[in-house]
Amino acid sequence: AFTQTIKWRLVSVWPAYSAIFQSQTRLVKSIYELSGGRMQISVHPAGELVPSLAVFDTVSKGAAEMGVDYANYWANKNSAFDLLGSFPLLLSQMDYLNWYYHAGGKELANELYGKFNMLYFVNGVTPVASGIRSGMPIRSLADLKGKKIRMSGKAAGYVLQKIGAVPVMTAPTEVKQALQTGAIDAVSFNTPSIDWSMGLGDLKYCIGSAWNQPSSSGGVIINKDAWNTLPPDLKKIIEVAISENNLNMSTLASWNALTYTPRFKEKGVVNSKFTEKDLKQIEEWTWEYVIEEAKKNPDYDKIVTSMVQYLKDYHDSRELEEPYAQGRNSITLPKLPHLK
Amino acid sequence: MGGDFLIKFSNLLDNINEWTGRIFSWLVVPLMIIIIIEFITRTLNVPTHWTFEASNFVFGAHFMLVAGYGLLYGSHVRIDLFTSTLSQKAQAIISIICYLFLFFPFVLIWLYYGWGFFYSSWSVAEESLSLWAPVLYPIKFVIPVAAFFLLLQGISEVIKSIVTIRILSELSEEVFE
Amino acid sequence: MSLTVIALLMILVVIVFFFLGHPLAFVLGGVGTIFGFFLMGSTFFSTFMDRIFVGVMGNFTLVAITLFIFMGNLLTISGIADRLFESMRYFIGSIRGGLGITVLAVCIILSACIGIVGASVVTVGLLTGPMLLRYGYQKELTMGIVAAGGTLGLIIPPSIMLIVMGDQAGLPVSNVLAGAIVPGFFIAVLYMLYVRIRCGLHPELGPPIPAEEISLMTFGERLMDFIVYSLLPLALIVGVMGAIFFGLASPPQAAGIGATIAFLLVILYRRFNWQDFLACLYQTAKASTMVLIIMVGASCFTGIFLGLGGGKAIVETLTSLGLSKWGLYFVMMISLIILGCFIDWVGLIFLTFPIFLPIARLMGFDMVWFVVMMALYLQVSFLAPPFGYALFYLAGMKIEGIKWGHIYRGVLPFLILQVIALLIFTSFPDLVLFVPTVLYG
Ligand code: NA
Ligand code: NA
Repeated sequence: AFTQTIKWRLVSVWPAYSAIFQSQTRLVKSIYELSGGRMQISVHPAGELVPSLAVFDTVSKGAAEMGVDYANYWANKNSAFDLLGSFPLLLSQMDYLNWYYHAGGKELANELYGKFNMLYFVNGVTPVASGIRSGMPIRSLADLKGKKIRMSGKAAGYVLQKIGAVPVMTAPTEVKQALQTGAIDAVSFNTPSIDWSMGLGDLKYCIGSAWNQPSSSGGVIINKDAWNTLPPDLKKIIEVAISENNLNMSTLASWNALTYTPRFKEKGVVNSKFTEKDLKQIEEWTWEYVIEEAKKNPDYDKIVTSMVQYLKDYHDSRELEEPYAQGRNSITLPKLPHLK
Repeated sequence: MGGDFLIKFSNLLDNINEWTGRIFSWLVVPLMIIIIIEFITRTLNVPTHWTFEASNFVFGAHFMLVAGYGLLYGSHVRIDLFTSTLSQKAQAIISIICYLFLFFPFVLIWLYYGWGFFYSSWSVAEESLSLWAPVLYPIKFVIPVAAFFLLLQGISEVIKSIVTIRILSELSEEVFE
Repeated sequence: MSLTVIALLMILVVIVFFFLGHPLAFVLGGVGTIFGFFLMGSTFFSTFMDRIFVGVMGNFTLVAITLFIFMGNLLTISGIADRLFESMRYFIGSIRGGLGITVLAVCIILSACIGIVGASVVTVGLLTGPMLLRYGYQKELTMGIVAAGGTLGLIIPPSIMLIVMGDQAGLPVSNVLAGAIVPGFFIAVLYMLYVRIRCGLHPELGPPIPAEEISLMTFGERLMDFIVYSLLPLALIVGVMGAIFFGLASPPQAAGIGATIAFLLVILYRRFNWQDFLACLYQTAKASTMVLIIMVGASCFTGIFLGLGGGKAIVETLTSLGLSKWGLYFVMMISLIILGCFIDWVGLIFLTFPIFLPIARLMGFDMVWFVVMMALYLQVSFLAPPFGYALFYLAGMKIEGIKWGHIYRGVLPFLILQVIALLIFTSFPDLVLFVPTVLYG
């Protein structure tokens, strides 16, 4: 029979030298093999076809059919995207996966991306970040006051300002030096394995866990017009391949976090925790921010309410599951208008 | 008659870019000032949220808006090593060919897609991702405008080559007579 | 048509049209547009805008380019550069070859700020070439000094070329700048030693300043002059670099501070007048747009080139040659020298980085070292006859009595020194990596 090879381009928000980049090559290889070679996707790291921040528009317009994204980058298109990558205090790794597959997350995400002519698939959720690492002792919220901190995300920036700390933007490649030269005092980057690869093992203090990043999700985005040209079996193949890649990525991230934590300990890194009181204060400020944003943007309201509803509904069950539960029951919840 | 009009038109275009250059050259001054403010406030631990991005905007506007001016003065890197040995007429013809096959396609695409780029940002009042969160369409507007200035200058350069060819042809006809 | 053929065709078309005298920026952009239209489809053109907006206009590191150019122009146009030269000449011109060494030193200081082959060679050449000849320096030696000195600035920090290279390679820019310190100054010292020894053996090639002229000023006056007009601008450069190395300022901030201080020096030396200041603004605009619009064109070209898979195709072809790690290294570096004969560094970075850097990573080279080596090889290509960029600019200035032969013969000894340095730094990468390691661990 006559079969036609379909050639697509995948643009990524991650540069070729980043560890996350490997998973894209893996995904594309799976799709190639599952489709018996009918689906060929070329992978382009950030900056090759388009810069990181242009991946969204490129896929939206169909200049590339597929993209690997990180939703927080698109918060200027619609502030609701800020919730779908990593967000302070909300969903943990397992929470996010549950929410996405079973609590309406997939539909909400697709509704949002659909407004921009794209489909969304979750493609790897990392567990909670290590926390705030620093060369100087930081043991409480009060110690953060006046410090220059590299932490991504608008909501986290809002909380930092409330704390009296100074949020500083630093490119990932410059973090190590910014620390050495004092351009920043502390950094919250990602999971232990990624922190380790950035050379952050030299920093003696770490305060956790990372309220600013309980999980971090990456996605695959696909242009709708391109998707609609595919035969049903290829659609299914792509969907299944991404799910499998998601499982691999998410568990690999957890596993790596597990295996790297002892290395920090061996280097003598001192870990400490925020107190209940500190976390309650952070919750207060974060919810303040969330409620303000929800007022401004109905899409934001819808998604954040769904996430908080998940947390609320899961509360009793999580309590029952303790001490074997995953994630954390928050002390308070934001008083969102549509929360049931 | 026609030649006269062409020359006048070319002069007009040259004049336009002379002024775009003289005006937008000044942007380097606010650029320098913003960078200094950024440095001082950061050193004093009272960082401003707008300086970092604002400096990038002014920088982008500066070099883009003087692109036509640069072309007017032949500042864009080129090599005339081989063509300089040819006759003036041949040089003019080659120059026109290059403009038609490379310059105009590129600059027209730049203008067309640049306008779309600006327009889609303007229609949703797109804001930047930063804490400062300014609207992005003014700086995106620079892209089609820069292409427009370049287009004008490109037209002027082609006219100059056409006029050169015409004058040289007339001269050679006179020699034959 | 295979991808490798298309990729090579694209490069070939760029070279052909560039040789037809069209500006590089538009050759690159135009070739990208034409190939993109036929092979990628017009939807792809929207990516041009993202590349321009985010990659060039929105790239904070590149802000340093405009401001360093501004700083360089303030120093040059205000006449501070002339005084710098004069004061150094009086101070060390009395030794054999002293004037030549002075020119090299001035070159380093000036081109450190300018960092554009054409601009620095022309600036330095116009300023010092006729002066050296007037003081009886041999034509060949004069041309060699001016060409070598003018290009040396490219690899001595702060160089905008190194800043762009570091940024495009995804490396910390300060590491790359720090890596260039030892090679840059080593080569500078080699050049100076050569001038000193050559003139020491043959005083007629580079005579010292006549005693009568020296005696016009007392030693105290000469020293004062030297401090005010040489050490002050020198302190400016050192300060600006220090600010970057010790993390007090990012390159754009350092450039902004440098430009501000240069402006204050202009006021301090009572050199300010509106005419010069306007000339300085206009010159800065022209030079900035020259560099950055090439980036715009190159960026569009690169998008199409890589989108078509041209980069990967060439990488695969090169790696399939079955060469060893070092075999590949020399293939890459020699192609760099050859391409460098035709294309300015700005275009070259965009053309070669996406191809060479993945290979270098694959081969396990240290990336900071590799990028610094690329910069060193580029300087060779700017100097190498018959096509060296610097040589064209020099010839283009039409200094009286200078023929192509003088330029070629004059440059040769400097080129040999350069190659010696290359071999040393290729064999001992630690010499390059020493400073970044000490500074940044
Ligand atoms: Na330099
Ligand atoms: Na060359």
